[in-house]
Amino acid sequence: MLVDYSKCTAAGQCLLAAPNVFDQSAENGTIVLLDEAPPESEYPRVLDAVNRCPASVISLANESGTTLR
Amino acid sequence: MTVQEVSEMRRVPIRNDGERLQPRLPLEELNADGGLLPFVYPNGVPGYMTTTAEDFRNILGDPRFHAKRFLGEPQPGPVSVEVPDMPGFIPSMNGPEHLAVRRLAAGDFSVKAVQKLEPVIDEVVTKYLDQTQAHGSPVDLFESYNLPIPSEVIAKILGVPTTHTPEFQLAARLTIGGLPDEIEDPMAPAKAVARLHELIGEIIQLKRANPEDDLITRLTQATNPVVSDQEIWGLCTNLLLAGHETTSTSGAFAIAILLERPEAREYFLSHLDRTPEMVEELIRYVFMVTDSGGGIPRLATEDVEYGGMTIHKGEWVMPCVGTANADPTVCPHGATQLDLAREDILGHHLTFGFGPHTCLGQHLARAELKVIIPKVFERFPNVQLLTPVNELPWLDKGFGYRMAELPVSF
Ligand code: HEM
Ligand code: SF4
Repeated sequence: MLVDYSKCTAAGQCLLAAPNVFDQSAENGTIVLLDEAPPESEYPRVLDAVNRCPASVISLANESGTTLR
Repeated sequence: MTVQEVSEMRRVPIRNDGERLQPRLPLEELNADGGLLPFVYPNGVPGYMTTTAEDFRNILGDPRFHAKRFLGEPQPGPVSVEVPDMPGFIPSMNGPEHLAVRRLAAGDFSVKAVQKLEPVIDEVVTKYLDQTQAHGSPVDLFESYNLPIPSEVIAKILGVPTTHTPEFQLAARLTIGGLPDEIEDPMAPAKAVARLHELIGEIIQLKRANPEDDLITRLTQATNPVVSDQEIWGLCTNLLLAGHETTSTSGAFAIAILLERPEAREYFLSHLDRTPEMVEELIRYVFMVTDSGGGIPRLATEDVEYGGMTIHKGEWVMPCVGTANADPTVCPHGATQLDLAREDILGHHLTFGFGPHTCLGQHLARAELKVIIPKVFERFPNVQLLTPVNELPWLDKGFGYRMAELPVSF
C-alpha cells in the first residue's frame, strides 16, 4: 500500500472506511498508516478507502511494486 | 465561449413553482444527458454544469481547475456577490499553499477530535432546547434552535471567550443576511464581516496573553508555518461562514420534512438506532433538492480537454451536488426521493464535495445534525408545523435556497 502524504487533505474518509488500517494525525488530521500490509480480511475495507479518498492519496501495489489501483 | 454563443445558451433549468420537496433541477434528465452542459446562470455568467457523479469527482479532483471565491470578475451564481479578499481563507486557495493552511485547522476537525466534542454538542443542543421550551409554544424553531447551535459550537472550538460569544453569534447571524429584521440594511452582511474581524483580532490578543487549549491559541503558536493575525482572521471567518449557515438551515429543513410527512416522522422515530444512516440520507436529500446548479465554482487555469470538448482557460465549471447525489451510481434506487430505510449512503453521496477542498467540517456537521434532529422530537413529542413547507419564507442563496423561518407549536 502506497500513501502520498503530500496530497492528503485530511478528510478522514480512510479512517471511516478501514479503521484498523488508517488513522488521522491528531496534529494536522492527515493520514496515518497503522498497518502497511493489512490481512486479506481488510482488503474490501481498504479498497473502499481507496475509492472514497477525495484526494487519491492511497494506492495499492503488488510485491514487485506494480501499481494496481 | 463567445458573446454570440452565450446569448444562445440555455438558462439553468431551475423550477420556480414554489414546490420545495421536489428537486429544483430536472435531475434525472440531466443525469441522462451526462457530461458537462453549458448554461447561463441567473446572474448572466456562463458556466459548464456537471451532470454525473463521475464528472463531479473528476473536475473537483483535477488541479487544473482552481477554487476561487474572490475575484474582480463575476463567476456563475444566483447573484453576483462582492466579498473582500482574506488571507487564510482556504476556499480560495489552491495547491500546496492551500493544504498547508488547511492542515493547521484539520487536527481539530478529524473524526476523533469530533468524537471528543460530542459532550459539548449535547450541552449546546440542550441549552437551546431549554430556551425554546422557556419561550413557549408557538415558536420559530429556526431562530430559537437551529440557527444559534452551529455558531456556538464553532465558538467553542475556536476558543471564543463566553464574554464574546453572543456578539460572535450575532455577527455570524448577520453575515448570512436576509433575516426578517435586517432586510432593510443591505450592508448588514459586510458590516458583520468587518465586526467579526475586530472581534477575532481582540480574541487573538487575549489568547497571546493567556494561552488556552483551543484552535485560536494553537494558530497563534504555530511555527511551521507561522500564521499571521490576518490569516487567523481569514481562517476563523471561513470556519464560521462555512459551518454556520449550512448546518443550521439543513437541520431546519430536515426537521420540517419530518414534520410535514407523518410517515417519515413515524419511521424516523421508530428507528432511532439507525440515526446516523437516516441523518446521512436527509443530508443527501436536502442538498440534492435545494441545489440550483452548483455553489462550488471552479476556474480552468489552462485549456482542458474533457469528454470530447475543450474547456478554455478562464471558463467556469460548476460541479453540481444535485445531479451527483441523484446519480444511480451513488444512489441506485429512487434517488430523487427521500428514503430513510436506505443503507450504505454514508460516505458515498457528494454533499460534502470532493478533491482537496472536500468539506473540512463534515464530521462535525454530521455529529451536530444527528443530535439536533432527533432531540426536537424527544423534547417536544407533540411538535407540529404551523405553516406547510411550501408556504414558508425561503431565501435564494449560493448553494441553493434556504428556509428563513420554521414556525411550530409544541
Ligand atoms: C451540512 C453541512 C455542511 C455542508 C453541506 C458543507 C459542504 C461543503 C462543501 C460542498 C465544501 C466544498 C467547497 C468547495 O469545494 O469549493 C465545503 C468546504 C468547507 N467546509 Fe463545509 N459543509 C457543511 C458544514 C461545515 C461545518 C460544520 C464546517 C466547520 C466548521 C465546515 C467547514 C468547511 C470548510 C473550512 C471548507 C473549506 C475547505 C477547503 O476549501 O479546503 N463545513 N463544505
Ligand atoms: S481519505 Fe484521503 S485525504 Fe482523507 S485523510 Fe484519508 S488519505 Fe487523507
